Amino acid sequence: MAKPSSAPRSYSRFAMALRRFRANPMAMIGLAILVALVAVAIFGPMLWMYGYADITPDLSQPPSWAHPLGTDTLGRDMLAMAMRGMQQSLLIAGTVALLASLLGTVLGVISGYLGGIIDASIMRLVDLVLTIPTIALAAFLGNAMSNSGVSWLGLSLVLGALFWTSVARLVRGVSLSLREMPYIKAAKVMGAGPVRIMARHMIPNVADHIIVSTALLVGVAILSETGLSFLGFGVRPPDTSLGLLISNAQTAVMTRPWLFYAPGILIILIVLSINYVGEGLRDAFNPKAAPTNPLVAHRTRLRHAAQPLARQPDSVVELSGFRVTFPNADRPAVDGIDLHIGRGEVLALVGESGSGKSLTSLAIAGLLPVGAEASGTVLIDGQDVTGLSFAQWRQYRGRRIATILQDPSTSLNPVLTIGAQFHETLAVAGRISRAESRKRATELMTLMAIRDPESRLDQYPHQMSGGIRQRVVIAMAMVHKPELIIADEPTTALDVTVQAQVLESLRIARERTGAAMLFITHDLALVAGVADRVAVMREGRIIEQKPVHELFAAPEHDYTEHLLSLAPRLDLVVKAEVVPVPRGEPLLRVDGLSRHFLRPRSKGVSESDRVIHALCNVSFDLMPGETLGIVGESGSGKTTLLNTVLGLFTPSAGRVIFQGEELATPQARLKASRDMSVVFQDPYASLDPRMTVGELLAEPAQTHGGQNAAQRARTVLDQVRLPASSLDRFPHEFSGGQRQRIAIARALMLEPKLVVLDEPVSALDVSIQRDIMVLLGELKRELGVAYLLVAHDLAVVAELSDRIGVMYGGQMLELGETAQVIGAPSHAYTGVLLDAVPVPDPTTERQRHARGRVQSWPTPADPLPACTVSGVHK
Amino acid sequence: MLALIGQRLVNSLAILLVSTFVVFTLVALAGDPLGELRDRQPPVPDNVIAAEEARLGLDQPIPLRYVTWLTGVVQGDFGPSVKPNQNIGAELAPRVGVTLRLVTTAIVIATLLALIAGTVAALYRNRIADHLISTSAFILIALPSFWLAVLLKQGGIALNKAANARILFTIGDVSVPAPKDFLPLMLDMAGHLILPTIVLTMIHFASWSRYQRTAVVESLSSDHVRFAVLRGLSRNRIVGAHVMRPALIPIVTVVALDLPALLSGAVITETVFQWRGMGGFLLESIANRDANAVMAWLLVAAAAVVFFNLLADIVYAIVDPRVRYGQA
Repeated sequence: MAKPSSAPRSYSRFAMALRRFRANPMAMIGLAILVALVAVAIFGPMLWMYGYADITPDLSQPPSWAHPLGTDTLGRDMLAMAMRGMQQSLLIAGTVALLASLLGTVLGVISGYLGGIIDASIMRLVDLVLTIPTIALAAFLGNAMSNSGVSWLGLSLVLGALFWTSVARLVRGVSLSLREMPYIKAAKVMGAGPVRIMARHMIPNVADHIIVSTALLVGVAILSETGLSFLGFGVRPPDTSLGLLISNAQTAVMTRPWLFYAPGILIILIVLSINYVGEGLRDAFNPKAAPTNPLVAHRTRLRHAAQPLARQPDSVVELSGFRVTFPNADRPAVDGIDLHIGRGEVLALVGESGSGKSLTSLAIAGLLPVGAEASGTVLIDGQDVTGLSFAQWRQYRGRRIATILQDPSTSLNPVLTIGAQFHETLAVAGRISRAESRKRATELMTLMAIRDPESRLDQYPHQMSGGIRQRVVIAMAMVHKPELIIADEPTTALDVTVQAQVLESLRIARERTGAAMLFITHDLALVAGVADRVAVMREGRIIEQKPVHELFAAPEHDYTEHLLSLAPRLDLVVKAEVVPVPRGEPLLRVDGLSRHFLRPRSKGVSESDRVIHALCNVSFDLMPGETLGIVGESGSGKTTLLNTVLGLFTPSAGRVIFQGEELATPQARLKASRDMSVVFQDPYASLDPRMTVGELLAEPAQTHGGQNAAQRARTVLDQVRLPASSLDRFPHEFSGGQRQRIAIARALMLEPKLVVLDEPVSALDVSIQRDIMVLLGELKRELGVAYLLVAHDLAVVAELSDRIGVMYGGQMLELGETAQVIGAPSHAYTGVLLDAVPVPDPTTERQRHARGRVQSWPTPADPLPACTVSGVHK
Repeated sequence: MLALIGQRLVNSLAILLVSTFVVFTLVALAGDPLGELRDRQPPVPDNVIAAEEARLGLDQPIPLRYVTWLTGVVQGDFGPSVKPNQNIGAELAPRVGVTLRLVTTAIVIATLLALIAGTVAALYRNRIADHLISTSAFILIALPSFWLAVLLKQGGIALNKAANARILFTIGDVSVPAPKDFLPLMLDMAGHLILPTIVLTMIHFASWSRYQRTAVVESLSSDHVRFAVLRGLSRNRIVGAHVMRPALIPIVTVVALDLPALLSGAVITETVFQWRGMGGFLLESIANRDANAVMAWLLVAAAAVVFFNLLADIVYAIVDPRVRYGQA
């Protein structure tokens, strides 16, 4: 086991949260007041000369040196009573909060992690408790109990039993989403049991939420306790509480105000400081990047450059010396770029994440994020747009500059119909009748090859597929015949075959409107067929800007050349060496595997239509040391296949046989998990953020009782080319590529025979993708491990795999040697997939445009065969 | 839509049934309603106690008592009270109206205020308006409702004294005797509502406005708002249709969840202002250990909560088409 952070630079997330908390003035003030009040409540009564029940001869005295808070009608010292009251209130509230969060955490985690009937029963219990006004039941039970001698503890128990629900709901909600996190799935695949997962992974990761809500609960509990005491059902005389003190002073507000204000202000101070501390903790644990507000973004005024540069004639957009800086950043995000887009021209802006390409496009639309400082000139149609107000920007946005955002699933408003969103877009240019706007929208959607546009207008975005939504967005971009269309990674969130259709729609939109286009992408291959001119951006600078043919033919800059060399050339795949598949016993045999899901009941869906065949009768063998690549688009069933093989889903029919043993029982699974491991797609989510690399690597060994884990951890780190000093660091201290190496190292810990790779590179930047692919290839040769690789990217699959399986609609359409599948596909769909992959060569790509796309599949004449496997699994 | 409501209704009734049983058992186990009678000096004869036990049904096992109670409730009879001559139903019914008047007014005003304050704070995030609203919200959340109630009541009394006229009503839910005509009666009731409503509204609107602020801040940074801005829509249209509408969903949940707390707050407020509402009834019944009366109160409260949650579900379906089409 690794020792906790010995390296000076290594901070756990908890330590970082504490630093952020210390930097929050309101929270620190709150904490100081709270600590002071607690100290007074604890030590004050010991030091103060009067006891809370002592009767002094000074009746109804206003505050004085002898009685800083005055005395009541019986002559009792108010300060002594207030301190006793605080003691009682804090004691009760603290106990209540502890009890409630303990109960709530346990029930919430169990409910969220186990789900099913247990979850349902616990949630019904929560509903049930929530129907009861706390005060009523607490008063009744408290009344009944305290007469029989139960004091603060009884009251705390009753309140605790009523307050756990808020914690439970919160913890359950977080647990539900945690349960789907890859690092929890990874732990399951490693063979960790539910208790271990809940204790080691779930609770540490909900801990911050629990701490915050416990803190806030103390405040709520104080208000409840004092409220009950006020009504006479909480703390009873002769003892006292802040609520009781206020109750006694009800009629004295005017005559003896000190009796009324002192306890009230104490309560307010305590609760206020608790709430500020709680809020501070919440912000410290979950630092949110300052959320953007596009309505005030225009306040980021651009500073003028001293001398506007010589203008390019006839350009729609011209940037010169344009620079964007963020405070606290070590280099400008955009570093003095010059860029112009000619009328009707398509300029592609290519760069990896963090290159500043998106900021550049946002600046052209006037939407720089809050806090960004920009300088330089931005001209649109020769007009200076620096420092325009929101209203002035509206002359440009939508009408002269249309924008298409990356993710069509979020760019449309989920609560408005498509028709309504078209209508408001059209109304930007002036009043328009509903009928007129429907007509225009229908025309535009027909142009975008959207079938049955009239009925689409009455639908909501969630009722459409991603491709249709993006085409709706493009149709909206065309509405006012803009001069410039900014397309910010318009196909990145889409499947490759849909990508081709959307690019086609973009082309139509551009031709119909005659607009220029700024096409932003990370994918150089995509650019070949789209752009007239290409600008390559890196670290805020444009390093090369050229017409597309010249760029691809003769890249000048090393980085451009490097990017080009990374682009996979499927069209050039000639796998000369065909490795003979070893005969004999397969390592993994998947036999007629099926998995069905039931759609929720809803209107217009018949019982038989509710069955979704996510996986239908899939069979294959995987030999030791072999790599089988499964390729498919979203909804193809490749992920279901993977989850079923890993045991995260139980099959509806069919078998998974690993090393000759069917994986039907938990025991067989546990045994198999020694030799089978997994690497998930997102390296940010597949490593538990609360564990050091050493602990992460030790985990597989712990569940399987392996020894000498520390030694082994150093070996695997070396295998994935990471230094041994990584052991004491936390995942957040590594880059995406390094994290993926850690995930691979963890998969190798127990010297597995099979590593399942779930989209291992698709979350990474292009240049890092290459490194990880090379590493995976080397490891395979060095260790002789078999891979089951699942990916959407045919190029990635082709490069790593010995054999390829093509999936669509839950079915395996084709399975063969890589060279055969790529070179001479036997299924029509494989042909469609191959054709949709963009080729990083402008000439080839344009020739392909000219001859048109391959006929898509499935078609009504040649449909996907129906799944005949029955047996439904919920 | 109707099917959805129907299903929710069935669920709600089931919860109500289980909830009443649990509470009934708790209440039955918690204390002996005849404790005071038994301890009385000189001792009350055994046969009197036995008769009283039989009248209240205490000689029977709890499940049987629950069934008897439930059958009675269905027929509109809330069971015998400890006070021999009190009919629980007849006593409680007018009080329910009084309390609902207060609670509903407070909910409506608090929700509106929360929507406005939260949205303004979020739109002007980290600027003066936000700091003002957020700080006052924090202070209001920390205010004990009973303290605020007493303060306002005494303030009202002082004001009336100073002006030598009745400017603010500080006692009761309606004047005694109540005005006969409709309009004066309404005005009189509204006048009595002012101070208690302020208390209830202040406390709850503050915490709701925090939720609304979070929701709007989130909504503002969502992609579809950015897209709406990029389409050139007007500021009003963006705030109304694209920022506010999706941000209505969280506040509905919060308000529905907070109803029990509102009822608790109403109990305190009514006590301070000496209303003849459900609050007084509850406290009196608790002091008397009148199990059936407390049960009747809890039943009304639980029914109100269940009804409001049902209402919240319907509002969801109106606000969010994804719920309406059964996909979220």
